[in-house]
Amino acid sequence: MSRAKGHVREALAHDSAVKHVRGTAVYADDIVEPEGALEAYVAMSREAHGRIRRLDVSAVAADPAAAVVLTARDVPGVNDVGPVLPGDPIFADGLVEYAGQSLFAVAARSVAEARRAASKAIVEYETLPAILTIEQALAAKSFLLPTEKLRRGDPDRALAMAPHRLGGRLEIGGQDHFYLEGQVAFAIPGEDGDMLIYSSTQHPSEVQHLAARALGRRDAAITVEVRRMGGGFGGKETQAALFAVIAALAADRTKRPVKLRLDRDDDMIMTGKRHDFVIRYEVGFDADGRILGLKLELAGRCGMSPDLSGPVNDRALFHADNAYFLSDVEVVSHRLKTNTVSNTAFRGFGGPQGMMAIEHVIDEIARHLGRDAYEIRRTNLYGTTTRNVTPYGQTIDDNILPELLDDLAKSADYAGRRRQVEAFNAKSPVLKRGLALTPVKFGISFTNTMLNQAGALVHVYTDGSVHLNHGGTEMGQGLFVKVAQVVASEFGIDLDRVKITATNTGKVPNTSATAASSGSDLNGMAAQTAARAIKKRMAAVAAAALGVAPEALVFADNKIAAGGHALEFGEVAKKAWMARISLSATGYYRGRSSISPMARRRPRCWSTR
Amino acid sequence: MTDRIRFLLGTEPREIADADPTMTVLEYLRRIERRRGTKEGCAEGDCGACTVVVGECTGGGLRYRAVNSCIQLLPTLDGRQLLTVEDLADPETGALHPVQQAMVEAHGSQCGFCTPGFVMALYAAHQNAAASARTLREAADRIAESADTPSPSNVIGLAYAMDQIPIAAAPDRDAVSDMIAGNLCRCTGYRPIVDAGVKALAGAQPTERDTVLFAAAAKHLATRRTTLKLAAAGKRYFAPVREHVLADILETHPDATIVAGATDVGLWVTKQHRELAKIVYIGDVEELKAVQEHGNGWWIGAAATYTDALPAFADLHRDFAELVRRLGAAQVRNCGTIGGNIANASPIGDTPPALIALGATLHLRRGKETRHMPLEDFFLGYRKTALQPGEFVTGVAVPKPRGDQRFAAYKISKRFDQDISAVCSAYRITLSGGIVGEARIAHGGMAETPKRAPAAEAALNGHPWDETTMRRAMEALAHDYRPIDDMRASAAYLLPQCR
Ligand SMILES: Cc1cc2nc3c(=O)[nH]c(=O)nc-3n(C[C@H](O)[C@H](O)[C@H](O)COP(=O)(O)OP(=O)(O)OC[C@H]3O[C@@H](n4cnc5c(N)ncnc54)[C@H](O)[C@@H]3O)c2cc1C
Ligand code: FES
Ligand code: FES
Repeated sequence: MSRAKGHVREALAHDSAVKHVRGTAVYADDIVEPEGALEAYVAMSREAHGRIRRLDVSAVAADPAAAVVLTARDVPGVNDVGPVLPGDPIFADGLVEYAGQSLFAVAARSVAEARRAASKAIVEYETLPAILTIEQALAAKSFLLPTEKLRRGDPDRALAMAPHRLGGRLEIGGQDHFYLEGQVAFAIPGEDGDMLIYSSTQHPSEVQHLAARALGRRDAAITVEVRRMGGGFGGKETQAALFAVIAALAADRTKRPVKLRLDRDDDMIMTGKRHDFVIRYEVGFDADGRILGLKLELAGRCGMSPDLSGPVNDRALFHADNAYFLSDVEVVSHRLKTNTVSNTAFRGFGGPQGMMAIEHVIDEIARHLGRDAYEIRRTNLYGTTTRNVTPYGQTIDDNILPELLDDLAKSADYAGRRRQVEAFNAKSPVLKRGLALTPVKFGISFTNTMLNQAGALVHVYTDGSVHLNHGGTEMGQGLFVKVAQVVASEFGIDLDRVKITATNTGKVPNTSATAASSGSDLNGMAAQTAARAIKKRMAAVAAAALGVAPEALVFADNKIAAGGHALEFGEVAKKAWMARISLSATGYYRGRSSISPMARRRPRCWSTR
Repeated sequence: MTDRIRFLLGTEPREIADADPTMTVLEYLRRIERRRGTKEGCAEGDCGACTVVVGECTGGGLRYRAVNSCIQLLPTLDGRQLLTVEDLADPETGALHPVQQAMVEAHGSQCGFCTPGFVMALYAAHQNAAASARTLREAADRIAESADTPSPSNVIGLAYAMDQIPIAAAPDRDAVSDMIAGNLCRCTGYRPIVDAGVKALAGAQPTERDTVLFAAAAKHLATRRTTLKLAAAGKRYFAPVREHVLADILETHPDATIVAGATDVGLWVTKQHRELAKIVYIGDVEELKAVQEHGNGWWIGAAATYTDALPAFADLHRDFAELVRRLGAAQVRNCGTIGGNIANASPIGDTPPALIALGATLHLRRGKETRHMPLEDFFLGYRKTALQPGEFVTGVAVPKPRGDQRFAAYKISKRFDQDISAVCSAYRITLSGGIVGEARIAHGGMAETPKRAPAAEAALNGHPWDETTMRRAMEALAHDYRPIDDMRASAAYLLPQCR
C-alpha cells in the first residue's frame, strides 16, 4: 500500500476549500474582464402566449449606451437552443409561448445601461389563450410528447379482485434550483470567428455545439471552459446554453468580450424548474397492505418546449415502483405542454416525483387499514429471490433493503419513537408530530445508454507533476478531487502533484453532461484508463533502467520501485522524455451495463457499478 | 461640510468623491476594487452571499457587524471600516483565520459560492467574542508604536464597545444557527457549517491579523462632526449628524428620499431600478439612534437598528424580542430600523402590530415643528401615511405592559427565519378581576395597513376573560378583516390562522 498522500478512500477536504473560504476561488463572474468588455441584458416577453405584432427596437439601438441589439433576425445560424429536440428559440420569432421568454438582447458597458436601453423597445402582442396548469392541459389534451405507458400483468383484474381498493389524486409542486450562483456566461471573441466561452454549465459540450449552431460555425471554432459552478442541481444541464449563446452572439457581432449574468429575479422567471405533477391512482390491496394491483397516472407539466422533459418523465415512470414489487401494474405518463417556462432537469430528474406517487399510495393504504406505514412499506419491498423483477423487466440484484431497513428500524428505535409520537399527539390538539422510515431505490446512469461515456486527458511533465483534465464539471460535488485521487493512486504519487484543471471542450471533446449520478464513475474510470496508459510506458522505461521486469514494478510513495531499487517518479518521467516516449494520454470509458428501457424495452435499465 | 466619502477598506484608507451615491457596496467591491471574493446571490438581502463586516464608532467605541453589501449604499460606509473575506487570512503567511480554518476542516463548503458570506457572518461574531482586554491592550500598544498618534478616546472607546456586546464564550448550535440564519447554502445542508461555527467560536481568541485590523480602525476612524454632501452621477446625497441639520435639509429638499438602514430602499435600487436623485441618510444622526428607558416605557429613536434596540424589545416583552429575533436575520437587523419599518408602511411590517397593541406613540418632526400621534393613526392606506413632505419620524414612545396587562405576539411565516409574515398579530389585554378592561388587538398581513381589530376588541371589552369570550372575539375578527389571496398565503388560510 502506498504511503503517498491523498489517495482513494481518504476523506479529503474539497480541492478548493481553502480558496472558497478565502474568496479566491474564481467563478465565471469573477474573471477579470479585458478592456472594452460589455455586459448584456435580455428583454423578456410579458405574455404567456401571444403573437408578436410589433417588435420595434430602433429606439434601443439609438441609445448611445447600446453597443448592439440582437433579435431573432440577428442570429446568423439556427435560432434555437433546444438540447435534444428543437423548440427553444434564442429570441422569440413571431410567437411567444411563456411569460419570460427571451425577446431580444442588448449589450452595453454595464448591465444597468443595457437594461435602461432595453426599456425603450416597443412590443405589441396579440394575446392568445394560455394553458397554464396541468389540469387545463389535460382537459385540452395539450400533449408535448407522446404519452408513455408501462404495464405488467393484469392490473384491471387485480384491482377488481382485491379485498380493498382506494383511489385518489396527489399534486406535487415545482421547485426552483436556486443555485447560489445564477446563470452566467462570458464570451471572448478570437481570430477567424473563434469564440471562447466561460459558462457556468453542467454540459460544456452541449453549450459548444449549440453556440456553433447559432453562430453558423463549426464546433471546432468554439471552446467552452468551466472551472467551477456555484451550484447546478440540474438547473445548468441545459438552461445555461441560452445565456452562453446570447453572450457569444453579442461578442461575435461587437468583436468585444461580452458577459451575460442574470439577475436573480430574471433567472427565476427565465429558467426552467422541477416538473410539477398531478398524480391519479387506483390501488387494490389485501388486509396486510400488500399491493395487488396498481394503476397510476403521472401528468407532468413540461412547459413550452421538450428540453429534457422526455427523459425526466421517463425517469418518473421508472421510479414509480420505488422499492416495491408491483405484480400487476400500469403506469401512464403524460407529458403536458403548457404556456410556462420549460421545465428541466432537477436533482433526481423525475425520480422523486415517481417515488412520491407510490409513497403517497402506501401512506393512504396505511391510513385506510389503520396501520403504521412502515409496516406497509416493509411488506411491499422487493424480494431477493422472488418478487424481484421491476415492471420494466430488470432483475434487482444485490437487494439489501430488507436487512437494511430492519437494521435501521432497530438502531433508530422506530417502535419506541412511534410510541412517543403517538403519546405527544394524543395530548396536543393543534401541533402534531410524524415519523417515517422510507426506502429509496434509485437508478444510477443516464437512461439514454449513449450518454454513459466519458473522456479524460492526462499529461505527466518531466518534473513528475501531472496535468489532469476530464469531461466532468465541478459544481460542489467534489468530482475534481475524487478523480484526482484516482490518478494519484494510480501513479502512487501525492495528490498535490496532480494539477486539477478546468473542464474545457478543447481538451476533452464530445462529453456528456455531468448528471445522472454518474460523474465520478464515468470520469474516474476514464482518467484511470489514461493514467494506466502512461503508467505502462513509464514502467517500461523504469524496468529497463532498473533491470527488472515491468510487472515487478510498484508505483508507490512517489517512486517506482522493484527488488529494493527505486527511481523517483519524476526521474522516470524525465528518462521517458529523453527516450522520446509520450507522457500524454487520453482515456475513455463507457458505462458497463445500462440499456435504455424506453429505447429497447429490455431488461437491465440501470448501471450496477 | 465634507464632500467625499472616507472609509477604511481593511487597513487601507479610501477617499471617494465621484461615485454614484446609489452604488451598492457590493458593486463597489466587485467593479471598482475588483475584490470578487464577495458574491452576489440575490441582490435583495435574502441570501447572505454578499455578507461583509462593517466596523463603526458608536458612543466613542467600535463594534463590528455583519451586513448585506448588496443593499447597502456606498456612501453609508463613510467613517467606517469595511472588512471583506479577503481581509481575514494573514497576508504574509497566508494563515487562515480560525473561522476559515474551521470551515475547511468541517467540510463547510461544497460549491463554495455561499462560503465567503458564511465566513463573514461567523467572523463578525468572532470579532465581538474575541475582543478581550488583552487584545485591546495589544491594539493600543501597536497604535502607540506607530508614527501617527491616534485619538486615545478611540482606543478606550474600543474597549468600551467590545465589552458591550455579550457573546457567549462558547455559543451552542442554536446560537450559531441564529448568526447564520441570513445565509443560504444550497449544497451542504448547513450541519457542517454549524459545526464549523461552534468550533471556531468556542473560546475565540483574536488572531495577529485581527489585532492589525482593530488597530487600523482605532487609528483611522473618527466620528464625523459635519454633514457629508455628495454630488455625482446627477444625484445628491446628504448625511447630517445632528437632528436639527437633518430637519433643515429635509425642509429645503422635501423631495429627497430618506434612507435609514436601506433594507427596503436598497431593493428599490437593485430590484425596481428606481433612480433616486436625492438621498438623505439618517443613520449618522446621533439623536435619532437613542434607545432609552424612562419611567414606565421606552423611547426608541427612529434610526436605532433592531440590534441596537433589542434590549428595549426584550424589556417590553419577550414575545416582542422573539418577533424581532425572527425579523429578517442578523444582517438585516444590523441595519434595519424601527423608523424605517414604520415609515415604509408595509402591511406586513412586523413591529407595527406589536407597537400598536402596546399603545405606542409616534413622534414626527418637520423643520422646528414636532407632533405626535397614536401609531395606528399614522397608517392611512396601502403604503400611505400621515407623513408630510419634509417631515420625518424621530422615534416611538412605547409604554411597558403593566402588571394587570397581558401581552402576546405571534408571527406566522413560511420559513421560521428571514421570511416576511403571512400574519403577524399582537394583543394587549388589560384585566381587572377576570374581566377584560381594555383589549388592544393589531394585525399585520390582514389588511392594506397594520390594523386594529375593533370588532374583536369590542367582543372582549367588559366580558369575562374565558373561552366563550375568546371564541366570540375570534368570530368577530371576520368583521375586522377581509384578507386577500397572494403569494404569501391564501385568504382562506389567513383568517383561521389569525383566529
Ligand atoms: C432580507 C430581508 C428580510 C426582511 N424581513 C423582514 C421581516 O421579517 N419583517 C419586517 O417587518 N420587515 C422585514 N424586512 C423589511 C425591512 O427590514 C424593514 O422594513 C426595516 O425596518 C426597514 O428599515 P430601514 O431602516 O432599513 O428602512 P429604509 O430602507 O432605509 O427605509 C424604508 C422606508 O422608510 C422611510 N424612512 C426611514 N426612516 C425614516 C424616518 N426616520 N422618517 C421618515 N421616513 C423614514 C424611507 O424613506 C423608506 O421609505 C426585511 C428586509 C429584507 C431585505
Ligand atoms: S446577494 Fe443575497 S443577500 Fe446580498
Ligand atoms: S456550498 Fe454551494 S451554496 Fe453553499
